Amino acid sequence: MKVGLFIPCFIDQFYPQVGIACLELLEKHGCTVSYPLDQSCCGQPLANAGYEKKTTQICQDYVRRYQDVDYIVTPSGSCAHHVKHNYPRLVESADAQSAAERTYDIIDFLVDVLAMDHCDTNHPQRVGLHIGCHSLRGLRQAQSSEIVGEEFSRPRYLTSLIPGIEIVSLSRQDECCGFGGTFAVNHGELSARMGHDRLQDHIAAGAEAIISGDMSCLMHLQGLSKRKKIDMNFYHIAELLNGLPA
Amino acid sequence: MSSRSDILARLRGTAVPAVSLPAYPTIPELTQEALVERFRANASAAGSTVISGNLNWSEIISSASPSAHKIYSDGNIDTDKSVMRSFSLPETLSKSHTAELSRTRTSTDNINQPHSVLLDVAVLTSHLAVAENGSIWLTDSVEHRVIPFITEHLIIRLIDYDLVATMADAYDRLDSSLAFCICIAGPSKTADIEQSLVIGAQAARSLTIVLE
Amino acid sequence: MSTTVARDIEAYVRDEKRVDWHDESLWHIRSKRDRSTHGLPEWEQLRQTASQIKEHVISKLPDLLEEFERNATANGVKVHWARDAQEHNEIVVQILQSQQIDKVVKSKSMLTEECKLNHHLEKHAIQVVDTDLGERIVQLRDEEPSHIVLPAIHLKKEEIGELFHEHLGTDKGAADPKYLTEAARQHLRTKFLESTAAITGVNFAIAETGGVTICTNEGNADLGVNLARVQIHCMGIEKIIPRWTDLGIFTRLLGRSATGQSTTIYTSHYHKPRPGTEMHIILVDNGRSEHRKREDFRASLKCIRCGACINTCPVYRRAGGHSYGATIPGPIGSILNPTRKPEDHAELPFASSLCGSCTDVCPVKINIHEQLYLLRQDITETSVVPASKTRSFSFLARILTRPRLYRMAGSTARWATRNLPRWAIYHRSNAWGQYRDLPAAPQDSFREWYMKNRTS
Repeated sequence: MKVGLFIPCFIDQFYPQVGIACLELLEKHGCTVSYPLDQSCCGQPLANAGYEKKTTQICQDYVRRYQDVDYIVTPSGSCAHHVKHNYPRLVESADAQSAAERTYDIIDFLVDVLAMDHCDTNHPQRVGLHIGCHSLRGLRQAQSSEIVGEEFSRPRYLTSLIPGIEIVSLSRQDECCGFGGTFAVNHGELSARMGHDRLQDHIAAGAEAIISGDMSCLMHLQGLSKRKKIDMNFYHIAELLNGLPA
Repeated sequence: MSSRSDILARLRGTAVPAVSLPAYPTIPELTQEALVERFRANASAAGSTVISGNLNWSEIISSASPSAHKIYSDGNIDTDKSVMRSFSLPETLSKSHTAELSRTRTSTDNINQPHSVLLDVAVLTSHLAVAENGSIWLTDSVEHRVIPFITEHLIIRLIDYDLVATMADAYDRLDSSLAFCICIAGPSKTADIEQSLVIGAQAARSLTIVLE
Repeated sequence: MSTTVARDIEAYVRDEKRVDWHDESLWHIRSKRDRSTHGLPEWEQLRQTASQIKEHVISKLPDLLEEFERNATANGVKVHWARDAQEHNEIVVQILQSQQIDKVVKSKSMLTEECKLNHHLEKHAIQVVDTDLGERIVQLRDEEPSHIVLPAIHLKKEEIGELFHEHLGTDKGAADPKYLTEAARQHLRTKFLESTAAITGVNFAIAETGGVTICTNEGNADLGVNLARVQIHCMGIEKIIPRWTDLGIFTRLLGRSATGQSTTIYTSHYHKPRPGTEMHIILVDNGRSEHRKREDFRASLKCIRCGACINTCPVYRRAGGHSYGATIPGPIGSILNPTRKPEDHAELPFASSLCGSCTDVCPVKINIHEQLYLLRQDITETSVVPASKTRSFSFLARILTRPRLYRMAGSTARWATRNLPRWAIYHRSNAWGQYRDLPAAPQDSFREWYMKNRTS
């Protein structure tokens, strides 16, 4: 199957190892992966700030770029959600609808399309699992704590495949970390406070690392912990599934 | 244009796609035994006291309020205390009542209730109870609507009653043309001060439910 | 667009201890809500049913209002219609003055808060006493409620003790909630007994029967109404429900969503006045019919004011209700206020991380966070946004649509992060860096790695 890789701007610039892990994981599962070289961003920073009208060109470019692949996979639940949820409204075309439907966050893709059921690497560490809000309530990767119904969690399932790993229990399972895109900048003090509370919950639970399918939440949490000189590791789940470089 | 026709015209001027009324969800039925168990558990959880078996009304009233002397009952109860069967509410409550009340000390352990219209205990009859929240229903038949609220302590007798599983069942059974009806699910409570639960906010300080 | 909200939030967040306490208080309520809903297998069905009933109500609102009026009138109730807050307040005053009433008790009603009724009554020399304990506390402090269900959730018991010492003569330094509640009980009983009129809000108004349903835990609404010779119920026109039996859905949702109680302690249904007394119902529009015109935001009229979205909101819990500068704070308030008065509340939809907890917790399934997102679009298009803000986002859009420009900006930023001294990076205009370090910038972007390793 032909997979087009979408590497969001901040991962491209600051976390290339996450992109590499995704690419290698997909290839290990037999996907033919292409990476269009003229990509940048999904447009979400603008749209969340109230300027989605300024992103039509960005949407159209995205739709055009991935016309020939079966699936579009990205290591960011938040970006995947933006594409799936807002593109069909922003660019009302069958192509945009199709691109939205073919777009997958890597977590969903590994579980729902590739049916990943084992992992050869190992990671003997106690980790805290942070599911970004857009992955949780937008993409429904897991049951949110508000909804009454059967529990399920794709990120937890994938994490549990990793030999040696232990997932700690948090006191607030799915509290927002306070990133929220431009919110992190416009309400910096509040955003930082939310992030520190989230960090504290993981620390209290004994996590040695925080893992997530949302690198933007991790960028925020990592930045906060570095500033406060808190010793904590941060990984995208794909990095652990693929195995960290020796 | 009157406000009425103006508002209605504005509403009618906006076409909103029609949405039909849904059917209600069906809920699995419970046995009578399970209902009683739930009712007792939920009533207790809400701070009510549930009593059944051999009834000693003098004791029931004393345990609700040891010093009760103004007692009202809407039915016959066998007790050594003096019980009013009718209760007169002054047309307008006089200023002197208010003055008297305001002289009472605001202390939790020494509350003096001299007010002539204020009841210490009211014993009222209900015929409908709800298991999911331990509530009972009172209807129009209450002599004065204010009785269940103004009394210091409330005792509800459930006589010839229906015990239903949920509020949905209760509304199904109730006559919607009643002038007044109320569902009471425990003693008056508040948590408005630092989320600390305090029983006895403004209306009845305790609720005793007697299953007859 | 002003930045008052952002400033107020920042000031609140700086008081770390208070934020700890406020956040925990509200999370406690959210946890109680979870415990009570997770024990109810039909919960999601109830939400869906309630949502659809409310959608039906919005679609048939004029018919249902007429049906309600017809049935209420037949019950001997006087029904009034008010276009706006001013007219609502005038109707109340006129009812009271026609009976020479100068003292009135009022139970909780967000509508009367919205209309600023108290202020209006006081201007007409009518004494109004809020009888819900939390409402009475904020009334004595001369401030607005900070929460729609828990009006005094922002206050510590010591602050309330001080207030009661000053106004109700409680012992100095006494802060025991039980003692303070008892003092309020005694104080308010005098008010109930001296008032000949009572005002209440309305939780549900039943079109089929012409009656109103009022839910309280304290019993204060019923004490007021049943001692008064004039009872006045004030409601927004969206409070209508079609059928009596619909209450079997809504009462199951309301208490559990609000505080985790299986129901409020008192659920009262008033259809007819007591013999010899008067019962009035005021139907208030005040912007609702305009709101209903807006397709994207119409669903927020389904709100039953349970406050669940407020309790769960990670922003509200840490920002405090007063930071919103609006009658209804929190997620739902961030829709209701700016939808009706964008000029005053344009900032609110941006004060959210769009986490969506509000949407999942809402008992009538309002897509709250989606509406906040759409409202942001609406506000940048229609309201006055500083030109500098629009310019910087236009600039960003230009970069992101030009891959070469984007790559240049990216590698410059990475170079700067690696090579510049901290003072040059973490300066005042770097809002990100004010609280956080930047990620360690790699030599190669993913694209550069890909070019080196995967293209030949």
